[in-house]
Amino acid sequence: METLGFLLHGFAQALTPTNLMFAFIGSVLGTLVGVLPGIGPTSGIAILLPLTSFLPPAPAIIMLAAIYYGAMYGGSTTAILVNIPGEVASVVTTLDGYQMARQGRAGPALAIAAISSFVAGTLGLVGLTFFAPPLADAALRIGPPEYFGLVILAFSVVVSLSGASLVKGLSAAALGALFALVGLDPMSGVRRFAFGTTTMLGGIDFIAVIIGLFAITEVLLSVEESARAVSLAALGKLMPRWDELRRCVGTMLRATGVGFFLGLLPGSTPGAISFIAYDLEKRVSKTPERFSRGAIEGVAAPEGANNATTSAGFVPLFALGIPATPALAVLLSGLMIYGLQPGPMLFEKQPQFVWTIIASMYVGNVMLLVLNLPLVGLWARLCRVPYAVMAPLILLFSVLGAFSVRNNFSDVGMALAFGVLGYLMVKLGYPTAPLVLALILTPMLENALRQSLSMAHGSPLIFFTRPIAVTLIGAGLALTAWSLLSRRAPQ
Amino acid sequence: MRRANLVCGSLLLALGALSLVEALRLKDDWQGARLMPAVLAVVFAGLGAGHFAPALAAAERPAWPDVPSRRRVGFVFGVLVLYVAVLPSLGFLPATALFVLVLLRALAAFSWTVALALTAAIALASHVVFKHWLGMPLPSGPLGL
Repeated sequence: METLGFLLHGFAQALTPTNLMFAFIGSVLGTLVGVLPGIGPTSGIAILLPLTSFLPPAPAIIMLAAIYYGAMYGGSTTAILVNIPGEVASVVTTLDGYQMARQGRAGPALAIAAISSFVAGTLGLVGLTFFAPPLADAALRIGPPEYFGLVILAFSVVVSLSGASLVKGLSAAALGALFALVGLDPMSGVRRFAFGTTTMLGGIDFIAVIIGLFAITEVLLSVEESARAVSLAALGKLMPRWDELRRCVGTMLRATGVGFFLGLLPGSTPGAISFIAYDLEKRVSKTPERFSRGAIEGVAAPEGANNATTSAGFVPLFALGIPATPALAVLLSGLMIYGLQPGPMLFEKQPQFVWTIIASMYVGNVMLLVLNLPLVGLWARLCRVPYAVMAPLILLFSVLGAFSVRNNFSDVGMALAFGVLGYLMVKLGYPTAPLVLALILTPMLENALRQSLSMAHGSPLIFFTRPIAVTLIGAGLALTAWSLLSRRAPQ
Repeated sequence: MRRANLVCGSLLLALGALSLVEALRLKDDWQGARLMPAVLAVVFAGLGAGHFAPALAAAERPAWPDVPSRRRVGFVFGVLVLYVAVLPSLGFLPATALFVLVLLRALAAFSWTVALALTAAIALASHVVFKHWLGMPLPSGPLGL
């Protein structure tokens, strides 16, 4: 009851005209940050952080938080319309979202992305409201062996993302793992796979990879087919059908559960979690063969999961002062600028501030739904713009997106190289999604593995002495076996 | 055996060898920086060998495009590479305008008027949004644009 009282008081503050205005500005800017490829929530918050310095703490943090969750909403738009993930968490959305757009169903895809984001984001906030302190405490007990188990579980997704050939899917994942190792080793500082050059020392940036593999590859493939537009099919209904919405209810709830609980763990990114949610949905579906061919659940699951993860990330941030993602780390610095030290004492010392921010996030989620749903028709019409106009625009945004990562042209060159690699992979029947997943997971896997071995003085038995780690590793192996058996069944 | 699988399998074996060489080269212990390259060496070797298996050999033939399509893909990619190459010396606005104009004319039968109008709109809008509004340090070139 005390929590509800605090929350109601937070709403009273969040609904003041000033705070409402900054939540709105943040939501709009966040949507824009999500739509523009290359400018993710982290750089979006970092760019706009200095602009909020003239504001009091509450409106400033309300605006920065709204940019963060707004970017999660906006990232799906270009993923669905032109196969460019606006941010990392939307990579999975391209698998079915873009297929739906090609079939003339961009409207329902965009609408379900907005609805699923709203439902999962709001349910995630309910979790944040009621379970923040105890859940954050539990998350703190998770160490490197448990993270290793979590990454093994996430890696099991590779099998179901492999498409027709398991060997080709695993080869793509191995390539992703190799690219993840390029640069300075974060633990020992030694150079790996840098071949004596300084440009490779900073590693291969993720944004350059996804821009190359998704945007540039897609343009090359479309140019080859001399595509006239993404979709020439009639736009038809812009909202999902009732039966689709009903089917997606379970999807959204499952995605919320996966996104929220895994999102509590610091270091587990929305990008990796959206893959897990997508895989879960494919596994529970009676018709998994529809996935990657325009299944509406394939859009609802990753979009729901990444928004639930976004809400969950605020739990360790507020309760423990631990940012779960790089974007939250920038937000944390924003809090510290105002002399607010997140941690167990924040709820006690600054209850009005914390509950105002949490309440404003409920309001912001409603704003995003209201902002995004009416725009569905407008966005969907973009699919009918002639491809001769879209192609230069997509390539231009790709160059700008890759350049914006570190403001240098070596990342642009990297994106071009990955464009060629992606094109060849598609032509030769290699799926690109396992490469992306391995690129995200390998640094986490390596850190967790090495830290665990270090903790146990080199003994791998540590993974079998920790119940949560054993359970997660067992679940990962079981899911891999299940996927392998399911692949054999139709034959 | 399909030639494509043979080539890809050989490439993966080469990557395995590269990973092994890198693991041996690094000055760190086997549970440190060497660990993942060593693991990858084994994984690449296994996957490379897997490409020579009969099941994969019977896989579908790669869907390479016909000659006109191949030329179109090559042309677009060539224009993109050229754009990135001249951007630092020519400046963002002129290079972008040229890039967009060439692609608009090449990919569709737009009249010069329509192509020029679209080029001006796209180049100017991106210049204003990315260079001025978002403050990206894009190259200016001799004209300062």
